[in-house]
Amino acid sequence: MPDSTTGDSEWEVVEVNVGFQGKEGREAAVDCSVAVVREFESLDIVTIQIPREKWSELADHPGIRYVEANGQTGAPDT
Amino acid sequence: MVRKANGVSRRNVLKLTGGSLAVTGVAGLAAAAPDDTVEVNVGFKSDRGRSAALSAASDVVRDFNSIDVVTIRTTKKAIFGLENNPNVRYVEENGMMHALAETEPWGIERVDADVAHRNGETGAGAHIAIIDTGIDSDHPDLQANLGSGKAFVSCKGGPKKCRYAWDDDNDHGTHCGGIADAVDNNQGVIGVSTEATLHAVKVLDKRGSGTYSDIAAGVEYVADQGWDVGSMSLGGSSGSQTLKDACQYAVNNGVFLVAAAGNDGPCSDCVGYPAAYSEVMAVSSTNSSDNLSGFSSTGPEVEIAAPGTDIYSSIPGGYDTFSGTSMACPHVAGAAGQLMANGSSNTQARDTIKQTAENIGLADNESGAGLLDVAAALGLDSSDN
Repeated sequence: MPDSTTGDSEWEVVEVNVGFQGKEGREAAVDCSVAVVREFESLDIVTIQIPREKWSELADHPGIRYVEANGQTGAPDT
Repeated sequence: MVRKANGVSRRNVLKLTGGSLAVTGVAGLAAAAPDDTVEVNVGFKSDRGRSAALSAASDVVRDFNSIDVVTIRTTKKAIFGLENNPNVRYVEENGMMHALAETEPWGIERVDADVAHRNGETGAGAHIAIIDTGIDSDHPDLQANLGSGKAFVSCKGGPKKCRYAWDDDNDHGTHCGGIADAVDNNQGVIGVSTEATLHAVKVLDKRGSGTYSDIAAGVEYVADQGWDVGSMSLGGSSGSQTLKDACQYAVNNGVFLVAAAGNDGPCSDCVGYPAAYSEVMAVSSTNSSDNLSGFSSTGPEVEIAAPGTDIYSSIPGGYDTFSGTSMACPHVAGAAGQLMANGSSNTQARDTIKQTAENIGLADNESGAGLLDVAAALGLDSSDN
């Protein structure tokens, strides 16, 4: 996980993928972010960094389909 | 990562052999006695040097038309005089080089891709994206097939390794690329397809890891380019809605997506993501005895099996043998490339691959429809099994 911590859990910054619908959903995501990591070309998704305390508020927004941690995966191990 | 089996290296495969003798009855230079006849190439500076070489020769093997070299047979003791002649640039033994042999990995024969090749099926015209750690941009077994690439993570290793942002700083992607589409060129290995256009979409870093966002962006990119096949030898036990959205978008836009089932075996109902998504064809792994590879994940999402144990293929700078469902996956990608080169849609290719699979006696959750049969999928006689 690319989380980073400020030392104060309220301000812990996490990297999330946000699926949105419509312009308002996108704006809600970008407005609460501290950094925009990626705006997808064709998909209604943004990867952003947000304070953890904003997660629930963002997820409850009617223009947001989901908020999920931008975890890591890779070549499977044997 | 995958494990390496026999450690065969490029150094073993690509080496040239020198010092052999061209003609029976002619001694090797090092072992020759002073009066033995040896065959040498003599580079000369002037007509006087050429004359000296010809005068020393018992036979003139070749007098080059445009370069100042003659190949002669002479005694070993005469060489010393030639070497000291100021009009001679060099004297060297006329050693031999051999054609570089091409190995047909066992998996290629087992899925009857060799039958497809003999019938002229090469995948030419298809575009296969390897969504992985990148592809070695100057590998002699891949370079002729490489199209454009794209990097969503950085290549690390300096300008020699990372000539392009999508170059491979790990090995994994180049190995998968060779399985899917190595060139049929009398060296190294041969792929399931041999003339499809291969695209590196680098979403995994030097350690073989990438974020869901990186991988989803890679899948989206493949779709936006209009490429035919996306091969994902990657995954994990946790899913991501972002990656699923990207897979859905790609399939809706005509991309055939295939992914490794995972290497968590022996286990049940343990197919990883993105292989477990309905949009993606999940591939399990078999060994050369048609048994399920011990490491292969299984589950109801598995649709097809392909060779994955001890697979010899390309890596940056050479060749190596890896095992994993990561190796099974690009066998299917190469087959889909063949079908889509011939006009199949992504969904038609998926159906055809399943309908023509060979029953090898494994359970449904182990091999799905069975073992990949490239020849049968192309409508060719694969009765040699």
